[in-house]
Amino acid sequence: MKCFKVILFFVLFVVTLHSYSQKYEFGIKYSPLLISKITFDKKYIIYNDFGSTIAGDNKFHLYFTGISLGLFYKEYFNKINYFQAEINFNGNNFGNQIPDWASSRKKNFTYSTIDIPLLIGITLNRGRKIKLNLFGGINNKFGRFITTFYSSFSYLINDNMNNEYYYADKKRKRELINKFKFYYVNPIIGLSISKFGSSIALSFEKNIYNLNKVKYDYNANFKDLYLIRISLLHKIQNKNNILK
Amino acid sequence: MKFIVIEILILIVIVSCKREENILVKNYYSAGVIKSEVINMYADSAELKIDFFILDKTNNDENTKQNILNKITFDTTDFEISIDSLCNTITNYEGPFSTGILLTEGLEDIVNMEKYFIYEEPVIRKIIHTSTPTNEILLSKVVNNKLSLEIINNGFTQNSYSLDQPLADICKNAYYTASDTLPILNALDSLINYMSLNAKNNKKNIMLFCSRRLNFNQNINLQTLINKAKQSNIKIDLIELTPNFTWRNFKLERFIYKLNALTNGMLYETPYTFDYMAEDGELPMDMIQVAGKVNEINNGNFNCFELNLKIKNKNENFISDSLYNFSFDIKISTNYETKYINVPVYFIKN
Repeated sequence: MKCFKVILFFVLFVVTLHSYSQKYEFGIKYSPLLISKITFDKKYIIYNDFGSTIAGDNKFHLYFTGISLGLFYKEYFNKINYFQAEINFNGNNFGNQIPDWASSRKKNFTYSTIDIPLLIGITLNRGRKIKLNLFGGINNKFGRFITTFYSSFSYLINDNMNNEYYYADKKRKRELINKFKFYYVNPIIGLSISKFGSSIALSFEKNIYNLNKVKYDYNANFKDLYLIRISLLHKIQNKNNILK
Repeated sequence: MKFIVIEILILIVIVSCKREENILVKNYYSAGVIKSEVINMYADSAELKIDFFILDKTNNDENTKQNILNKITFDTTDFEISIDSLCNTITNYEGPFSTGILLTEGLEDIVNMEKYFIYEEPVIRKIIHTSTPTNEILLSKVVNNKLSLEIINNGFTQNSYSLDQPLADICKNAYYTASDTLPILNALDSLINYMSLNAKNNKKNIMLFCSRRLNFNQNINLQTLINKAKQSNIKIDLIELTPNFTWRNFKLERFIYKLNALTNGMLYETPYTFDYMAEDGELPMDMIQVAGKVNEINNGNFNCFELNLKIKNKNENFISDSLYNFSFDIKISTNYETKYINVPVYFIKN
């Protein structure tokens, strides 16, 4: 319920800004590349099935996050300063972070979040065709959506005609995903280069708050989260009263 | 143009949704011996009482409800065996146990032993988590000749979670080739001493997990160690994760099995060592099934089968103090399949 209040506040905030706007842009955002790292506070992750894995390899890994798609709204205060709000459905991939899964066929320690970044930006080179922008703000992350789907075709019937399966990695990945808090806020900074209606952005975010739904004394908890995203933004609608 | 871009993006998003497969659960049954007792032993014949279980996943891992009478066949050429009686029984109530888990690290030869420590960890962790807080538990490992036994943390505990990280640490680092001399007998001796002094429960057991090792220190008299275990009221339980491959030193194997039989310890030997795809995260279901019942088996009031046998030795007379073994197969039938479950039995005249 608290999350819905927060979302409602953001929506009302953006709508209010929009009603006073002189110049705004509205468009789509696609973030196909992610460099991520997550660290843990203990050496081993212990799972409910009594197994364990080494907790993180402390390295950055590059992933293709084809599922990451969103919308952005950019509101110019003047010619160089702007406010940007986004709503993105972003993939968060950490599969290669667990070294024990290196040989596993399935490494989908992947979950998706609804990200609502609220950013303030500044154009560094005013008047140029290719604009360089610096931005920063907060990223509100909601949810733990499983975007790895399980096909009904893969269900087999065993000799006992029982539909009961056990695949530890799958359960373990879900267990790890469910350890994340449903809502948390990360500070975010980035750089973007834009020309006409399109831009490419590089953003970096790291948690400053606790990521864990529950903190365990004897099990590995999430510690530091680093997400570096490369995104493409494309304007599909705009209004410009400032420059006229 | 805008719509084409959106359509392409939507297509990429849909393609990016991955699919995972499910893998079959197998091995619904696991059967092992709770204890085997020699009731009488004559020159060429013996009477044996065997308490054994068949854990059945379709019966919530409890003893199977299937009728196994007339479905037991004996797998031996040395003995002529006849069934005197077979019945369901409930074991005596024993009360809380003090359990010491002793494990070894390193492998003399890694062939067929690649998954040993991968299997060992969840099995031991399940024993620890299901045993506490009713029972107290201790985790220890055999180290080297200077310090034969290392007791993890502060000895006996009823907080199972406190052993999670140390156990993972041991099992993740135990896979290496070892050619040194293993002081397993010294470690057993030290553990029996420690348990005699520090265990708060009268009933005690040691669960031994021995990896494949060739050289072991023989500076302790085996009979002395057996007597010590019996006097201290400690039984030696075995869950054998890689039977036929664990034991490179047959003298050590015979001694450990003798210790197990003489102390009326529980024995489970998995027939499914190579059935699981550990690299894909598949867990050894039958071993974990048994591990989850160790506490109930020890504490008593456990539903199982009691088998009374008459055994005739076809080749020679029985020798007191010698260890004998045979196995029997139980035919388990469901509407869809028939399965033969092998139960190895070791016995010795006490």
